[in-house]
Amino acid sequence: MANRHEAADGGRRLDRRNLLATIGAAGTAGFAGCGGQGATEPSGSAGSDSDDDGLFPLSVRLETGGKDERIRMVELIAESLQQTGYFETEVETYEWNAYLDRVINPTYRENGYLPAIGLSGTFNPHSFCNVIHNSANVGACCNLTGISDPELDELLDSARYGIEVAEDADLRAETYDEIWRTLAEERYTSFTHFSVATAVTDAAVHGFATWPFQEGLFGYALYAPQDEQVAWIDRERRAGDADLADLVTGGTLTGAISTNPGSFDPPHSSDTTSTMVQNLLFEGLVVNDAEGNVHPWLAERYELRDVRDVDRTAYEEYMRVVGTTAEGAVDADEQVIARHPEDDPAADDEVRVLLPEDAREAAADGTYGMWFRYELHEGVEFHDGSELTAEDVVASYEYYENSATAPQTFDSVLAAVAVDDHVVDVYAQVPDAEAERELPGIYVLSADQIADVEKGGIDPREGVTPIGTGPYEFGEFVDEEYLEVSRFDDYWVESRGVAEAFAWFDGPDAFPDGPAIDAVEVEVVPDDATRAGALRNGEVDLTYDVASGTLEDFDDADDFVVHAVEAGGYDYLQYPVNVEPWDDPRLREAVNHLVPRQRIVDNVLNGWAEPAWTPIPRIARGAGTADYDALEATVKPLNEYDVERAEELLEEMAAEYGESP
Amino acid sequence: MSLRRFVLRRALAVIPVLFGVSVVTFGLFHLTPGDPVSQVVALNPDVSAAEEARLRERWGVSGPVWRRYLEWLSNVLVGDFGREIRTGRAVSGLVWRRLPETIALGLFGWVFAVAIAIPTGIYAAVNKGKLGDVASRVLALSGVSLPNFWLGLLLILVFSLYLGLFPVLPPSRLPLYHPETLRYLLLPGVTIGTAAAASLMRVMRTSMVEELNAEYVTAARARGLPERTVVFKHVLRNSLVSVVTLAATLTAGIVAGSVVVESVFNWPGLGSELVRAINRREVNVVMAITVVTAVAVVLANFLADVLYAVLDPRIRYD
Amino acid sequence: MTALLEVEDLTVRFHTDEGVVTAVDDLSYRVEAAETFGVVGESGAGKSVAARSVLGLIDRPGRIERGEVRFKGEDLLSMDESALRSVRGDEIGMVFQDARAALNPVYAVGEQIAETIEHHMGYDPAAAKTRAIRLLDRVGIADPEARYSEYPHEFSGGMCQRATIAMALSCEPDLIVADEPTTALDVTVEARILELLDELADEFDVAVQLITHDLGVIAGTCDRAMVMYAGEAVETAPIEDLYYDPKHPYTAGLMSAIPRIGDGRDRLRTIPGTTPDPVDPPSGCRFHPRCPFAEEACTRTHPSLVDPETGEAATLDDDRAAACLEYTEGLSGGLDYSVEVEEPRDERAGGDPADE
Repeated sequence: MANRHEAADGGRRLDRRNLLATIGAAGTAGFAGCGGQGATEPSGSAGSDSDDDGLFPLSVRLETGGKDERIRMVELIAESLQQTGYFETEVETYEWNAYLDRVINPTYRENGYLPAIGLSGTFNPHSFCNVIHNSANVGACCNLTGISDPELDELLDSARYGIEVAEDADLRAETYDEIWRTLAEERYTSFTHFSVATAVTDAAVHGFATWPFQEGLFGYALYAPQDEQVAWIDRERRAGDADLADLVTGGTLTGAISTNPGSFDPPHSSDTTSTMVQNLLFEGLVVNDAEGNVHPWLAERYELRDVRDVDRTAYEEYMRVVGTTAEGAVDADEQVIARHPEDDPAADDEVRVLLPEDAREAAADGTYGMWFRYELHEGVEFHDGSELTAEDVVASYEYYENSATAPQTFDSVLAAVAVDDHVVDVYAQVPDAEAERELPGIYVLSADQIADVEKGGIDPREGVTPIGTGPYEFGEFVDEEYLEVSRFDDYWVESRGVAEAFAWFDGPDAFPDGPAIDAVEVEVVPDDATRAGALRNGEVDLTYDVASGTLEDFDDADDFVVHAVEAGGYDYLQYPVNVEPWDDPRLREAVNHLVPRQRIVDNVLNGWAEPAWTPIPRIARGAGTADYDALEATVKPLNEYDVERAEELLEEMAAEYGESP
Repeated sequence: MSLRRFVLRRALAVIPVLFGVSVVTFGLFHLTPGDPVSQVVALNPDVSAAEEARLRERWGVSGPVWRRYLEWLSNVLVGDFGREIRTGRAVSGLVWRRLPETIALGLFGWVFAVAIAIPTGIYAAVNKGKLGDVASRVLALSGVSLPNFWLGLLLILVFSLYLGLFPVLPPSRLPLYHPETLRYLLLPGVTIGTAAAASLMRVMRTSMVEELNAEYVTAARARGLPERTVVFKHVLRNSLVSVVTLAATLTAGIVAGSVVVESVFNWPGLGSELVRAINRREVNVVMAITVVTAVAVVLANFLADVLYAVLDPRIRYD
Repeated sequence: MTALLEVEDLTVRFHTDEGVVTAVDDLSYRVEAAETFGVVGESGAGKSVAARSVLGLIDRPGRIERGEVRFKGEDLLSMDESALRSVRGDEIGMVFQDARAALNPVYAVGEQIAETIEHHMGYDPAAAKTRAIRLLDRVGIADPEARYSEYPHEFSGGMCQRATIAMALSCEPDLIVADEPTTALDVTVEARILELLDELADEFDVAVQLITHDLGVIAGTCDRAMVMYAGEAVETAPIEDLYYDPKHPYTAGLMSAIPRIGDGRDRLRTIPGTTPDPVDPPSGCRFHPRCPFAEEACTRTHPSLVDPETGEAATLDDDRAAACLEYTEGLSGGLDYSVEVEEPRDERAGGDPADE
């Protein structure tokens, strides 16, 4: 569903599942823009150029922010463009949060600038195409240049939604292949490279492994039976020794994080670091392994009970008519679960929307796209000693309403209903191929705590101690300084035994029933060099976001281990398709051929990345392509560095534009 | 005039200065074209006029400037600096949490600067033209010329990373008064104090050399006083007068230096907070830190005035 | 019998960037106990350097190259620092030209006096204070108890000088070296200070070496005097002889330079020319470029200090000595000057035997 309603709050929505893979915490309510820029400056578009050639040299303004590496990448691209003689490039860089404020703004698309940004995708192939191309994500994260292609929108929707793809994985994969080919043809966006998730540990840490997504850094490494993953502290053994037989329990792991956790309130935070620390405290109904497979977690088991071939018009009779604001937003206080597809809040004075209570009614009446049933473990204890029940799960879903992460929750969730104390039914609005992973994608919070706080208030800075069911319980937090968590003595998996708790678990007997490490101390250290220094100096055991050059040093040192795993982070450059002459596909094709992907990976990232020859990284290939090799064979030539082809296209355009100014 | 009356008069003179500081601070942030709200609104067509008004009300940017100023000032006077825009948390809490860290760092920097500058300056002056004097001048020149971020990184590299003598991270879990904190303060303190130490040392030396030539020094020697008494009692106190004058000026430098040094050392003080706040356009935080540091500088100057008067009775007549 | 202070062959040089300056050249003189001995000369004649050398107060770049300063028969120059310090301020006091500058501006005047007393006489602070107050009272400072804790800037110039005199006297010394003590003061104050010094010298039975550029001051206070020119003594004489019968043309020239109120001529008659370049003094007699009686011989031969009667080299014990070739080789033109004594109209000269 669209983001119009949220936009009216003046806030921006960042898809939790498409978290920005970089140092910055994405703000949800910051000041936009950069005083005066953009509005008055001449845009990067041509047309004002009165040279004989008419169009060339074309002024191109590339913008970026955040990591130095990204800035160097953009500079490299700019240099590559400049060298052809067809472009006058200019690179503008911003501090990360300022940059986010700048680009995630509906008016940014009119500037004619080329923004480059980094996002983090998921196992869901959708995260590599929909977020940045679907017109619904204009002014939100992260269709920055206002790409609005109805055919593409439809294609994107059809890859994920509808009974066909929900039931037919092959069809889904084929649809995605079509998407990748379309994107390669249209070149709205140039994907540059996929990141590898890296972390560096010192000799004390054993058994460590990185999760492809940074937000899972602590939670996954410390205890993830789905991948038989457990880390422990042993200061006696050599770095890298990780035999389960040598596992030692106890000890404190000290990690350095790059950003202050913005919030401990899961639905009300959208930055990577917040999720990273929340991962220690909270758990979900299900869990993913490193290949994206879903395993029940707080739910002992779950099943898909029914799929119905509905689209959102099916909820028409449950919808209410609400007004719209002059600015074209839906005027409703409650969470809009769905909006009637035929109504447009920008054009109409009134629109039909589905509100939470009505959605529950619809679900009860059998109007839904999918119906999942989750049976919770009995005897799961929250950190405050209370027992997890279906009521907590339902309250958690409700707590996600009108939150920072509501858009990506209620784009699929229709309703969550408690059946009895330990059974919850969750309904999807439409048949959704991603539903198995996405529907239960919330953290389960304590209903008691939710009842006590204002939305967004689960935060020690507000005097509220976050309560979850996770393996660690909150200890102490000093804003911008450190967080301490310690092992929760009554952790339910431990009480039960891992093999007992999870029917799917088939790991060795030696695998522990809970995390081995007693306490985790997380230091907030914004400066990359300081963080690396702290690790080198033995003040922390673990860090990440280490510059690729430094990563080499650590890799060469005996006392440190660099952990790397192919990840979902990707960087892209987006073209201002609404501004002439970027609406001309030939120009985009030419520029795309001038993006030196291999050089970016080799020279800027020192090899710690994968060139994006296709828009999908390895982690999403399971669901996202029928035949990756075939796809690559088709798409890669379109994305290769090819100055000749680029110049040919540019020459063609120059001739044309020169004739008819 | 008695010392007490002098101090009182100077204390009263601080009030208009602080008033000026508040006007300038407020003015800089509120009279520059485009208040924070209009910046949001200009780039976001989805904000309705009513919402804009509400935002203005909420961030204190509605009504005539003078009234906004008075409201702001009356809040500041009771220690209320408003709220952070991003989180809605009270800015004062943030400032009071960060302030002691910066004060500790600044004080340590000062103590270091004075501890180095005064003895070295005396030594150089007494041994004017000799090797020690020349060496100290070379050191002072390097101390003044080294950019503090560079010095900070160098110290981290050498003393923390190569020698492993000092921690890289600040003592997040230790209370500031804990003796162990000193170990953490050392490198950033030295970094922040070096430039001040170098300038102070040079002034100390110059003023000491000048004073050593004064007639009262010959007179004191003619009275048969031991050289130690001559130098440490008679000359030192006179030399300190010009050092104190400089010291007041250097306080502003130390405050400014804390921005860089705190960022380099990850020190959780007002300086690094200021950098963060500027990046995030937290106007209230930036204003609060500006006001607090301005007050600190004004206070430092006031203290210098008092010290000046204590050291030199002639001043009290001015 | 040895005199209280005997300075013999004292040579002080300053090693400056411009060259070596011989500020005091082979100077010898004596000061008897309880007498007031004047040292007179234009500025730059080396009077002050000579005075400071007595206490070993020559700082770099100056250096005492040669000579002895015997105080009560002991050579101060060969004493170690601490022995010398126990003489300074205790047995020899010093009064400076600029009394205000000689007082440390940041300590109360009384404290500085008491400091010396405590240091040399071992008084406890309270006793030292009492004594300092008494001294302040004695040197004529009204309300000495209040004044004790006032600072130099709160004192007038004359009061400062009184205070330094009190300081010089504080440990009952045998000798006071007064270096132009009244130059910085105006005329009326000068007279009172000189009077005070005179009175106290008698009362405390202390010898005074009074350095001045003003013959009038010498005339009023001294028993004997020495005239210096360009670092050398050119004439030594009891005060009356110096005035009535100056043996050196420079002394005679200085006499005419004494300002006399009511004098019909120029108020200040100075000797034509300037004092010689200290780095490169004239050959022969250093005074010859300015001497109206100079002859060819004067440019070649350096006259030594002799008894003008006998022409023999003067000794420390000689009361009368002059350094002019006239008294050794004889000048072809002789010294053609005479001394006229005018009516005593100058009040500063009141009671001055030379003017009577």
